[in-house]
Amino acid sequence: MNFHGAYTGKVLRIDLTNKSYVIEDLPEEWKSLYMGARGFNMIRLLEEVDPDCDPLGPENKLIFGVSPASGTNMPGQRLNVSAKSPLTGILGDSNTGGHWGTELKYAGYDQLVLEGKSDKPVYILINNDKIEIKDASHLWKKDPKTVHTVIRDELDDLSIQVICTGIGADNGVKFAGLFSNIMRANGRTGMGTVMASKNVKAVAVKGESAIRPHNFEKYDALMKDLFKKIWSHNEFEMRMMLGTTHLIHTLNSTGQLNTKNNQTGYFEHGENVSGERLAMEFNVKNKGCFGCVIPCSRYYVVKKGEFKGLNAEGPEFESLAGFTSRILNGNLEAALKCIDLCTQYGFDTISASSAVSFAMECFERGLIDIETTQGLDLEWGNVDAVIELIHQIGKREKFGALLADGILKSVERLGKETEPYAMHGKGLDVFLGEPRGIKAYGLGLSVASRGADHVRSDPFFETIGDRQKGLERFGEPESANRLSTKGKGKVVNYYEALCVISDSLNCCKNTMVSMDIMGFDELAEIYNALTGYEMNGDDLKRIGERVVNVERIYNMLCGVRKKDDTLAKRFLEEPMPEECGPTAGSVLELAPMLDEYYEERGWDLETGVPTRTKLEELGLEKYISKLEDAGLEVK
Amino acid sequence: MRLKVNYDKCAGCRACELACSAKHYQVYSTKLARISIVKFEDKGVDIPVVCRQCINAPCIANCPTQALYKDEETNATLVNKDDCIGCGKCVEVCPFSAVRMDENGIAMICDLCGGNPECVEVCATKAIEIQGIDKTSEKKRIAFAEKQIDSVLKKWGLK
Repeated sequence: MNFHGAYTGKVLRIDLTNKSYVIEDLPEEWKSLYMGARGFNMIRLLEEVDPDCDPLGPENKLIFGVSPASGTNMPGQRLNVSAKSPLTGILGDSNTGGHWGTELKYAGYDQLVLEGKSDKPVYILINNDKIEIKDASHLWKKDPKTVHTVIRDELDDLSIQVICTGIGADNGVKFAGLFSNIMRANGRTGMGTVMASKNVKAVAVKGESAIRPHNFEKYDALMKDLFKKIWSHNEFEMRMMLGTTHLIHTLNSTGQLNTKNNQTGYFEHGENVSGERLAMEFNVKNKGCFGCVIPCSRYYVVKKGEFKGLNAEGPEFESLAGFTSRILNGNLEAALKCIDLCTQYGFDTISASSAVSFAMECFERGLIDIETTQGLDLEWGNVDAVIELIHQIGKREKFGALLADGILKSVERLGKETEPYAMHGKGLDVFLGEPRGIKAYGLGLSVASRGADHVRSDPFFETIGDRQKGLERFGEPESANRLSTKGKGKVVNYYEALCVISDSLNCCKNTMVSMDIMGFDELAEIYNALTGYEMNGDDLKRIGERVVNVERIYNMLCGVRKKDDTLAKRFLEEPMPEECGPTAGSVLELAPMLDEYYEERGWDLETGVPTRTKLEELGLEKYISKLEDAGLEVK
Repeated sequence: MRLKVNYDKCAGCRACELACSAKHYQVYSTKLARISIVKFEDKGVDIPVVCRQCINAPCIANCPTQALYKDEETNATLVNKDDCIGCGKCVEVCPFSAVRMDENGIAMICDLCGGNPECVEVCATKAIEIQGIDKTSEKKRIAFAEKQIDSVLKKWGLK
């Protein structure tokens, strides 16, 4: 079957309680209002998932979304998985590369919705329009590699795409993700935990359709132009060699690398754990997401020493810095081992490494001792203890069990005095850059709809240092200065919308956003060739804005208020220490940036609630009464 | 010419398959591609499987309707769609398992895109490259001859 116009127009909804399914039409108006993937998932969440529901109860829904570009030759396609988050209690959403999302599209669906709860472990088999719910008791509490291998063996199909939970999700760890292509993670906000709560171990999918854009010739030509822009970009070779791991060196050399649980921005053993060293000594080839012309993921093999024989895809910057600078570990091979264990247990490496560094700082300050840790010596850099702790968290045993429910629960269990060392926003652990050194990122983390996450806005623009460009793009020369707060509300506003479009077309933010290859106008041209719509750059920006507001409404219904648009106090109050070079002395002055951000958004400065005018302008007026019912004033 | 595959370099992204289906069918599909990436994810190994453009091609020799023939300029094996009956003999006899059939039962064999293979164009890791058949055999001949130099020099007392 061929899908013309790039939407399949179909949604597969599976009710696990009753073991039944239905194939529905995608609401036609969603296409032009929400575009795809993240946009579709967010409106589905707001429409169907009660903000007051138990995230691990049957009423939560796990939503998989792909885009009109999925399955075409758009470089590096991705997948969004969303639900109410068991980690943060607000909107949950995660994004991954790999090949699973494309296969869902080829099977004939723009979206998959899992609802209810199975009475026993199952996995779902989607073979085009044939759906089966199969027993998975033999797969429960198994790691992603085993699950992939067993499912492929029993279906006698090497190429079937699998997405599954690891051991941790099945044990109820709250920051567990979903894993496809064995090592590709939908990491953030506990989407694996939600799937495991429904007793679903995996979804295997096979699709045989072909995709034909509305205007094939135009679309194919636009893609070929895009390829050329990527290949001639001055970062092409660096990204092919290092992926995102170049950031260890880049950030460390300017004192902005999250080190020692954000106590500092400089790691003295940074070069020993850098992406450059990884590339020179360990990498054997590149790996790529589906259809990528700049496949920047890498495959490594450890050829000697204690961890000889260890091999895997990755790691990316966040995982690598998480298990090196964040925990003060200078042993690269040991870090690779930690990351590999996180894959087996199926963790989000950002939250897992944050759990460890939080515990280490509490240990350093005497807030917990060797009795609390049941014998684990959590001195900084003690990687043997870290390896043991990862096992404990995954198995939910001993001291690890205290950390397995996420950073907010850990504080609750270990005592109020540990709170200043929990590096999060809205219950989601921060990334591995240092928000005091990149202030638009600091603002972006504070307002991000899935909790303190950097790829909701990814405002790399502030790092370019080109004042003229700052003036041209945002009317403020300082907007291109990472250490300034000026113009950052505008910058974050712009990049939040761009990231929505990137996530809703499921294209790669490395190329679309960080490499500054395409703006809204170019994306509109691509979208039009794909679908036959006639939109311009402003229309796309409006879609981005609409999705950000849908997310805001959902979060406010979950209880988020203006006071939650912030980060751990350390970022706001403790100046960066002397060794951080150009970043030394910096703090995150959030208040003025927030005001500018709200103003740009059309949100009330005092309450952070979207204004009536803004909601009406975006066609979201039907949600005003819901906000009012929740006790919020919509001005 | 033919396609040369560097098995250790393939990133498994499948951009080549999409380029191939776009070129030949004006759609994006992994099933309608004449190049196929077999992914062994548990080992991290990705193997592109593609036609070798054999000079004494078994697919051509065994085709009962003489639907297959060689392009004189590129050495590509071409399919005359009108003569192809979809019997699958070419699929069966290909030593590289590189022949598949499309949804209409017509043999899908790499035609080298008339001399500018699109898969090579999009492969960022250079796992697939164009190889001139004659030039390569020449290189191999020289490499073989080079290995004999030492024994001659030893005999002459120069090594």
